[in-house]
Amino acid sequence: MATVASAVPAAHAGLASGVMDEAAFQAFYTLTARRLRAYLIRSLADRSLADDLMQEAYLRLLRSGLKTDDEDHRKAYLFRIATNLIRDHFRRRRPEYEMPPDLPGDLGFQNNFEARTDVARAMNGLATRDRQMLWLAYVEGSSHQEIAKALGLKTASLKSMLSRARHRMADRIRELGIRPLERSES
Amino acid sequence: MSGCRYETDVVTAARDGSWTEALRDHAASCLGCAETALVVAALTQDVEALALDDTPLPDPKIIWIRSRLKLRQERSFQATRVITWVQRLTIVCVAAVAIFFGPGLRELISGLRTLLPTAALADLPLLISGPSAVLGLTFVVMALMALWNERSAVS
Repeated sequence: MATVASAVPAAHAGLASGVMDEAAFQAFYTLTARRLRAYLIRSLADRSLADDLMQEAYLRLLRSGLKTDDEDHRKAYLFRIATNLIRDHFRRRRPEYEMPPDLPGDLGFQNNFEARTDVARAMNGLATRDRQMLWLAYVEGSSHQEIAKALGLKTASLKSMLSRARHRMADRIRELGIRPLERSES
Repeated sequence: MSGCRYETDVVTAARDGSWTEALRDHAASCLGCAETALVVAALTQDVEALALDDTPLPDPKIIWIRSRLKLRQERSFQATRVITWVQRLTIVCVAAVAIFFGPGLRELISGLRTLLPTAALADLPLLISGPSAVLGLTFVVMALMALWNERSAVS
């Protein structure tokens, strides 16, 4: 998987002090925004909310004054901020950190592009935390440590939680009769 | 992640299609790896579907400008916080001085009465009320300024 670090030259002028200038931020944004939005859409099942939280995540990243030349570290930090925002959103909405309703139809997103795909339907049947874990592990390629840190879990318990989430997702995929295309090396 | 030593290879293969014969045989016989392959393939397909979505992203320039504005606001708040505290301290000092010297001032005035000619005594309340009014007004204005600074910094 291509890392952000390999796409943004470390010697970028804006990163000389480890803090981004406008040009460095735009480069970083171009590389990470779509991925972050995809993560938020799948976690929240709501595009406009995903866009709002995405902007807030970048704002918080900029305000944090994070000093690092490691773009992968910066990206991990950004996803951690986004994960916290998702958690805050659900906490504000409900007293407990519960999962959103089971079906996309219940949320009123049945006409949304991002909720129409089969995999989206399978994902929406899972708890938010399960979706986040699966996405971070298998799409973003985050380490157990990074995922645990982002979700506020113990690294030791993450392995079994991820395993259970994967099992539930596999069940949902089978239930819905989804047959993902097998990749062939190009 | 499923506890199987082939899992990393299975994840990579499910993502980019780099299956070897041995790995495929393993995934067919290992329940954990079979599940991993299924989930990763589905998620990869989903990512590709989302990538086709060409809805424009929010403008990064606006995010940048908002962050600068917020930063400036925070710096201004930091700077005015010191001033606000100095103002509060001044108010407390003025109040303390007024309380401490209040009885003495009264005694001084009564003492002055004995020294002053009778005609001047008639103007005494006026003489006292002037400085008191100035002191009181200063106190109120400073308190309002302190409150105003605090509110504008927060908003």
